[in-house]
Amino acid sequence: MAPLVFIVVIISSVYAGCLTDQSKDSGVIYQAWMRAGDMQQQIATRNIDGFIAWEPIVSETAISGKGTVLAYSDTIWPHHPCCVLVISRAGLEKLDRNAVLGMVWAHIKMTQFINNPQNYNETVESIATSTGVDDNTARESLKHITYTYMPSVQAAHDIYDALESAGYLKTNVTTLGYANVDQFLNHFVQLEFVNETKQRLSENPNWAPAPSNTTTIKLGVLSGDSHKLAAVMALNKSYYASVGLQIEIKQYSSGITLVEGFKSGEIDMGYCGIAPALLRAINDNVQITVIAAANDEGSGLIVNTDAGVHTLSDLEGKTIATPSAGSLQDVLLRKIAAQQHLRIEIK
Amino acid sequence: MPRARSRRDVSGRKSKVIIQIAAIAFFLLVWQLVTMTQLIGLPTPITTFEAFYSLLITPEPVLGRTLLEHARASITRVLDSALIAFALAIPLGIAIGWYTRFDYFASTLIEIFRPIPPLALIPLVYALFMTYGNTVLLAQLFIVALAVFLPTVVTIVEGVKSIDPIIIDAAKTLGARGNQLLQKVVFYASIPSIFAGIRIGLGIGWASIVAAELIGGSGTGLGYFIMTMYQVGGRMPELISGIIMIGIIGFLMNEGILWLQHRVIRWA
Repeated sequence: MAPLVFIVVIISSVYAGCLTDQSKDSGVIYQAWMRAGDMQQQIATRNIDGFIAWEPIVSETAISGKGTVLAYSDTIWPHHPCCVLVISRAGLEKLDRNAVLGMVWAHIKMTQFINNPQNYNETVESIATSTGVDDNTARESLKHITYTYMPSVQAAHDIYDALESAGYLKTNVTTLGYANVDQFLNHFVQLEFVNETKQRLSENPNWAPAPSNTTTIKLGVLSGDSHKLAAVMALNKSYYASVGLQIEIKQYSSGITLVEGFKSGEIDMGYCGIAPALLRAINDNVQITVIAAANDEGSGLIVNTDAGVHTLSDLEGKTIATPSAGSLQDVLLRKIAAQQHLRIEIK
Repeated sequence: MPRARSRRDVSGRKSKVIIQIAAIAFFLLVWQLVTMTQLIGLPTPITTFEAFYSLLITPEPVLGRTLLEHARASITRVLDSALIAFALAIPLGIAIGWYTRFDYFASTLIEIFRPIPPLALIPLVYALFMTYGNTVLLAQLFIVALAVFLPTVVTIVEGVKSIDPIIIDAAKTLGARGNQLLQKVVFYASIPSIFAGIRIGLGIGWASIVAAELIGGSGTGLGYFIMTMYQVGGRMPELISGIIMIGIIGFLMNEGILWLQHRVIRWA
């Protein structure tokens, strides 16, 4: 019996050894999908050669020395759209119009506050406390992100093209009842709330949506990212409360899971990437609409300091992690691969 | 007894196959009827099997691999883990079943760990292996190996305990002692339960592969395929194809071991 056990152990360990021996192809970037929260640890153990994540993870990794920034996302794709404020169509019907306006109003007010250099220290403080990084990291992350509120149909169209070329789109918009992509996107991105708020604020800077009865809004956000900063600050500074809104926050680990929350009715509104929102809106007919932009740019490509990667073309044969398929960072990696004439292979 | 067995084997086999086919046909019919009610967004069996057949040979574009490649990856993971688990479970199971004091000791621990579903251990195991290279592979091997090990060892222990005392006494009367008794009598008498343990363990290991492959960065495997199809969305036929593949392979594994068991142990 003992020899039998011995043989089985030997065979199984040799077999397991063969598994890890993977031959490297030329012309390929290997991609691994994983939780953004796991990436710093995975790069430290050399399981991956790099990753694309959102701020402040990028700045945190760079400052801690676990990796170096190869490219900020603005150099990969200048002015690329990122997070947006999304509302479910059910929420749009159910909620008082003033409540929706109130959310957009608080978002615009806070975005203007963040972009005012006088409020720099308070902004840094808010990033640090809401994401758990130090002030230094918060300051660094702030350099590489543009806070905004004006959504754009063109930006949605760019994302649509990127998702389509990645082979992710399974459903044609005509089966969803639209004549063409433009018609779909014009319905997917609604400018009316931002335009109305802007208009009112330009007439009277102290305008606020008339408080209706106190309305509870279930708001989904991504944990540990600084893109939803306007919402964090609006909460801290009681902007929501001032227009009769009570906010219930629900945390998600990725945009894909947040959009799931819309599908199941867990949330009415949410801050997430425009890419996952658009992907699920098309593929699964999730009934959602973008009513404001949150930020442009604000992601970065981190590589292992000793991985020998100095330019984007050095990524050949390397393993790069991104959050789940259809996330904005996933789209960014595919952009890089296309620019460098490399193929993506999932690892 | 031999008469009854042979009758079942010869005349029963034909009707068994017919009933098995009828069961599958019944399932497909129910599936078709459910899709016709349009209460849930389930694709029809035809649509699904079209997707299934095309996925067998053409790579699915998001992950760039065919269903067979994913199946191979999953089977490899399960067999690797299972081999490690069996190498430990078989000698341990016999020892626990044979030595009463060791039984008290080991069974206490096994019965504490047995009710914990492998799924619940995923975050822990992933975090534990984070500091090593090949985190994902190690974590998957560990989870599946544990899932295989526990039911296998328990089945073998029960098998050893239920060995007919007459056989042991007869061997003792003939002068067998200690190791000789263990190697020449107990081991052979527990082979049927070892097969049962392997069959049950492999079944549970195969079922847990989906859980193990949900760990981020798996890249291949049927569990990972299903999860990715779900995340990207709009791919219900692909998703169900992955599930069907898991079912088919699990069924074949079980039948394969039964077949082998009948060949190896003709005396039982």
